[in-house]
Amino acid sequence: MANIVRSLSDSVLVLIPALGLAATLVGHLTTRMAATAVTIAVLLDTAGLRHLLLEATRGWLHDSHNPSWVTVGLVLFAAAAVGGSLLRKATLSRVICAMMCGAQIVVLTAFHQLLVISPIQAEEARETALVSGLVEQGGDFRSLCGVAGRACWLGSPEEVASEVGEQVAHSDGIVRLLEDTADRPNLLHSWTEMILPSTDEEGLMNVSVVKADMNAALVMVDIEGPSRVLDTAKQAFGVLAVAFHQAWITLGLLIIWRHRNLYYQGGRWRTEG
Amino acid sequence: MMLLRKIEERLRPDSVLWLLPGLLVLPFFTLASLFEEDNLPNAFQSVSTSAILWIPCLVVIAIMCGKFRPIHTAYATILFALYDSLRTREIIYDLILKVIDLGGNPNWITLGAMVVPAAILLVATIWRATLFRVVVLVSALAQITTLTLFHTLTVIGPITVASEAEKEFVEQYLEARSEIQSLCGIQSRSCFSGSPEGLAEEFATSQLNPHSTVKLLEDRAGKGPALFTWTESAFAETADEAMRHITVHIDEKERALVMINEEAPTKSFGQMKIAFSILAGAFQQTWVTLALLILWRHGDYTWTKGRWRRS
Repeated sequence: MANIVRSLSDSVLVLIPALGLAATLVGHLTTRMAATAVTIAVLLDTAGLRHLLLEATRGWLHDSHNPSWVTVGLVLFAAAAVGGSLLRKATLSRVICAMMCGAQIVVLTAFHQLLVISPIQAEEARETALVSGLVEQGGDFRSLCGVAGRACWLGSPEEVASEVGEQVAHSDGIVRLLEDTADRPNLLHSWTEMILPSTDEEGLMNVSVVKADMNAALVMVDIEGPSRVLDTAKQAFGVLAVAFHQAWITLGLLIIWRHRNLYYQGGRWRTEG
Repeated sequence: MMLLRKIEERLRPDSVLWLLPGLLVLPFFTLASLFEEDNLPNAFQSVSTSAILWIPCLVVIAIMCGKFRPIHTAYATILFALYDSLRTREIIYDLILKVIDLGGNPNWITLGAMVVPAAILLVATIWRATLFRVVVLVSALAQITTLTLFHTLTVIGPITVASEAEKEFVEQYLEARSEIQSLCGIQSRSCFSGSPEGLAEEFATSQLNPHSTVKLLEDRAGKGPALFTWTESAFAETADEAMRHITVHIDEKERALVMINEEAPTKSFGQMKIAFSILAGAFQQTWVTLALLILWRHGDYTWTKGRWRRS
């Protein structure tokens, strides 16, 4: 369910930039042009353009596996383009599209911070408090192994690094931490990270690493619990993003449809032609 | 009445400046709450329990007057200030409590204060449709819909997930270690142990006052091993609202352990309250601004004989 909502909201996010870019190119947006722009955007998105752009720009522009960065780039590019075109000729279509792009940036940033980032940070703080509480009480968190989907690896740091590297996807951070802290006898680290952001099976992973002496490391990985938190966050974000886009696109297109020939010049609105 | 009309006319009721109280009420209210209240979630919560009632106040004005004049915005603001400062919500809550059990949650009054005037305005609009009534009705219905959506997504959903996670965690921890005592003190979990009857008596007289825990301990006494975990809201009728996960474990020897985890869920609940209030406030500001702009330009239209006419 979370992935369906996520996929829907991802597709919806490109509609306002598509309208913005169309208004930038043609000045006055007609209903046919708006429909064409929206259709092309949906088709390109369905064809996987987002992933193609992500792959094409990786290495020289960014180092991320998260296709959401392409959406962010597209939204910002469209806002800048339609904003720039206003300086050339302020048609009503461009003004409305610029407002829609601006509102999209503000609202999505707020939704993302409140509905996704904050719950993830709360989940990280909760797990850290649980782990550090157990360590303070009994030396390690072995009692949590096997509880609510938590998997553990115990042994020498080298052995644990090699086993975790083989058995856990996206284990680079854990392996690097164990290698970098090989000379430290005491260690307690707990963090939360995204996994598989380039596929549908994206999730969240709580990782805890403890060392009581140089030769014994305990690594605990929990994917089930935090991924459930992420799923709830994705659903909330997706539903609100879709509702917001529906409202803005409907209102924006209605205004453009009624007043599409207007443009602003010399301190007043004039009709084209 | 004539005197009031004369005073109103002297105040230049159609001046655009009268829109300012409506446009600025939410920012002022939010700033005042942030300065007044030390607890950030509670400061934001006052937005979602009080400030959102500005639209229902405008609904009341729209029921009484069909044609919009900018001074109506100031009337709505005065009505809202009276509602908030006279603690009307608490008074109505206490009165209704004598008739209906509201589960200790005064937010039902806030919901009622939004729904009832909107329903009356709907009837008034069907009787005589003016643009003022239609715009305010749309705002009120949109507010009810979006707040329900925001509440479900930002509060109910995360609480359900957290509750299920705690339940699963405690169940599996008990299964793996045959005890949950070692969780006491972790993440500020407080524990109480003893016989079910003794604990029930202890809780019945304590400040914590968890009715459901007492009832459960009384019901389960002498009935063998049991494990229950649930999440409940504590002290919803005061500002010190909290969330807590409660676990009751009774072993084979009829020894009961009650574990209360309040700190972490209350912290998460605080974040939910902030998220909900910011979304509710941002939505309200947008709708109020748009609605007042439309009403300022077209507030004197009436729907007669199939078309909008200026009165």
